[in-house]
Amino acid sequence: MTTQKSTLHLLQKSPFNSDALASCLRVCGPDDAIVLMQDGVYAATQHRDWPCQKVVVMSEDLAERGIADSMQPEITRIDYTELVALCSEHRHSQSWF
Amino acid sequence: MKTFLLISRHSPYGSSYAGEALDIALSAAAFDIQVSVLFMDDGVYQLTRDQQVAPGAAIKHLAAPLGALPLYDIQDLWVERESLDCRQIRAETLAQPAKLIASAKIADFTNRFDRVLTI
Amino acid sequence: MKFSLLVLGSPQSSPAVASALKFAQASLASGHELFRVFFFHDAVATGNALTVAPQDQTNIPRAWQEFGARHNIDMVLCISSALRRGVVDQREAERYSLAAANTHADFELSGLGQWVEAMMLSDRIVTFGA
Repeated sequence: MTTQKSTLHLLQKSPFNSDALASCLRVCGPDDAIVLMQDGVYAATQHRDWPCQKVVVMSEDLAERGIADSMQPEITRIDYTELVALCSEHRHSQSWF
Repeated sequence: MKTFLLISRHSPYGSSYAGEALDIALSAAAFDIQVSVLFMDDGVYQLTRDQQVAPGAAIKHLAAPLGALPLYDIQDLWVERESLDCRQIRAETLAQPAKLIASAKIADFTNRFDRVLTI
Repeated sequence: MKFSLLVLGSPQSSPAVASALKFAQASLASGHELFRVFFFHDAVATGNALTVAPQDQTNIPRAWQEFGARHNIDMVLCISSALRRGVVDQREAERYSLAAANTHADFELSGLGQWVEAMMLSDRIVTFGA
């Protein structure tokens, strides 16, 4: 699963009041991965065609905001240990805020 | 020589991010790093001509750091085409000569660099 | 692997600093090395030793200060962000004739060159925006 050449996108803003998600989706490559974190987790409630295979959400940010039940099924929940692992697997990370 | 891409996506005077991002680019150039800058989203507004100095403004004016880019040999400037298009800005009106890049090419483009930072 | 973190949000009004702390803890627990944590923009308030949190809330600056001290983390406050926001150490307080200093002893005030160096000497950089 190591994708040394790709980018891990860290979405840190709500898609409803920021262009961060739209911009991230525009530049995301098929081998990239997206992490929804902080208010970025609100993007997990909407169905969409993601530009990459792997889309994950920070479990505790999701639970804190009370939206765990409305999460889209294609998205996987992760914790900080898994986030660290994802960062080490990708050569670059880009934060969108 | 290591290569560094700064992606700058914030407007010039709505926050201090734009100026701070340029400061990082200038610091990196002083370290003998080959620096490229890609402006996208409201970051493209950093390149409008005729930005006036507002007396008493809290956010620092961008004329100095932008003007310093060529002096620090930061010539490899890029602008995302879609960001210009949706703001109805024509590339030839920008204050600095920048190359256009389509969104769809940016993933491969970023992979060419040793380090990438988005602010 | 060597990680460096760039933190921009305020410790009081943004989740960025708390999130960066959890990431830092998880990275050490996973056997990685934290080369440097650079606090930029509003995140420089993390080095303020004089913050008081309500009893039912975590004092995020203090949590970072304790974590950094325990693991001997290289924590740098961007000097230009810090001076603008009144986060000063003894040396800067004397230089600018200010009434007091307020930074925690384990934080260093320094320039952006420290972040550039961290970017170049680390395997991975991760940004926690505002």
